[in-house]
Amino acid sequence: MKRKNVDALFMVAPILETPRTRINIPAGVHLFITIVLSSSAFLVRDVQWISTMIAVNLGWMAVCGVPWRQLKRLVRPFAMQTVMLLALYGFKQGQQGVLPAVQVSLQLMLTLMPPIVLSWCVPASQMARTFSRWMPDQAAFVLSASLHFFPMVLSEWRILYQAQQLRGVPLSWKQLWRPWHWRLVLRCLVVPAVVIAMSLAHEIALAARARNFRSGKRSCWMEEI
Amino acid sequence: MKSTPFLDRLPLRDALFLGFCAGAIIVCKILFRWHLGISGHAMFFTLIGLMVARSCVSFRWGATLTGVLAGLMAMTLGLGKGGPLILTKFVVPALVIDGALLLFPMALWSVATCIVVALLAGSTKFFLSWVQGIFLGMDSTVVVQRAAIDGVGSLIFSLLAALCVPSLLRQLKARGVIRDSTR
Repeated sequence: MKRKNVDALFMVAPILETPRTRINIPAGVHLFITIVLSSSAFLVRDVQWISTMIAVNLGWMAVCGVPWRQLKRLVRPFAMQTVMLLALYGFKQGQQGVLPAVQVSLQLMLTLMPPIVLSWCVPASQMARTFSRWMPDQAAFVLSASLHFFPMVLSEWRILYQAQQLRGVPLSWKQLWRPWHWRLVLRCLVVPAVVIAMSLAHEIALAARARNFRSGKRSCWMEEI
Repeated sequence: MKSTPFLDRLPLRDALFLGFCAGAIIVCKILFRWHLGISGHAMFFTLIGLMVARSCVSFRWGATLTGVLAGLMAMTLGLGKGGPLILTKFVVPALVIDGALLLFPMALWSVATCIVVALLAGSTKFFLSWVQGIFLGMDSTVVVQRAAIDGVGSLIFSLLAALCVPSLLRQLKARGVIRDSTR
């Protein structure tokens, strides 16, 4: 596995300012505003409302303390989508299709921009805690435990990958360009990885049962210690 | 007779395993985020993850629960461009898989039936893209064209996933992970 990519999973929040310099918005409120902003982007139809929504979103970014230089990172994922829409509209309506294509891609961007801002501003642990307020105990535990223990599972899988390579299984990225090696990925990586995940799940469940999980009231959350 | 709550019928071990499967889907999505513009490639890992999760755990809505967890993880980690909508990308195909397995419990063990289930699950991308386009007020022809571009890519990768799953399940059964193939 590419170590850099896997580690990036747990380093989502980009270079934002320290929380002291921006308004501290509770995660639940942030999530609610995100859903409202995202949903209203579906409802707007004309240019005036779209420009209002753009202004509102930019304002929201400012409130959240997202630096303006991050705007490029926000817009980049939508470039491909815009090109495709321009091509499709242009094919059907010619030059007249440019305006509706731009309008729709802006709407699409407005739908998906607030969630990206949400993920930048609210840490993963805080999000998991927010979800746990609305979810059943077991589901919340499973979600937070999966997130919490997943680095452990990943390191087990990394050891497995290295062990198989030491055994001589051709699993390096270069060797995997040859399609006849792909079967080995299933046999030597995926199957043992499932077995490892199953045994880790068993151990964690056993540890939770030993701590009286499920029999009484929820007594503690890691973040609250 | 007192009815037990929905999730209490699922042992914690199995629930955690589903959580790890969801995590694996997310990691694969991150690892193969190459921005090549190939639509639907994530469906390959999503379907393999959902189908393996459902087959290894004797819980009727195992795939759906994995889908919900994967969606929540994706939301939590800020993955993809979907935001709250990203949940549907995982949950809808998972519902199709669970629904198909309710009707035909052995569907994932033969390549032919697995292909049918995977294509049904993969086609949800077309409908999701179509519904999104309709809500955004796009031109009807463009909506269909855009959904078709998304859908075809997704179907191709679903087909590839379906070719892997039966042999994977047989190997897992040989190692004792799946004990009862009639689940």
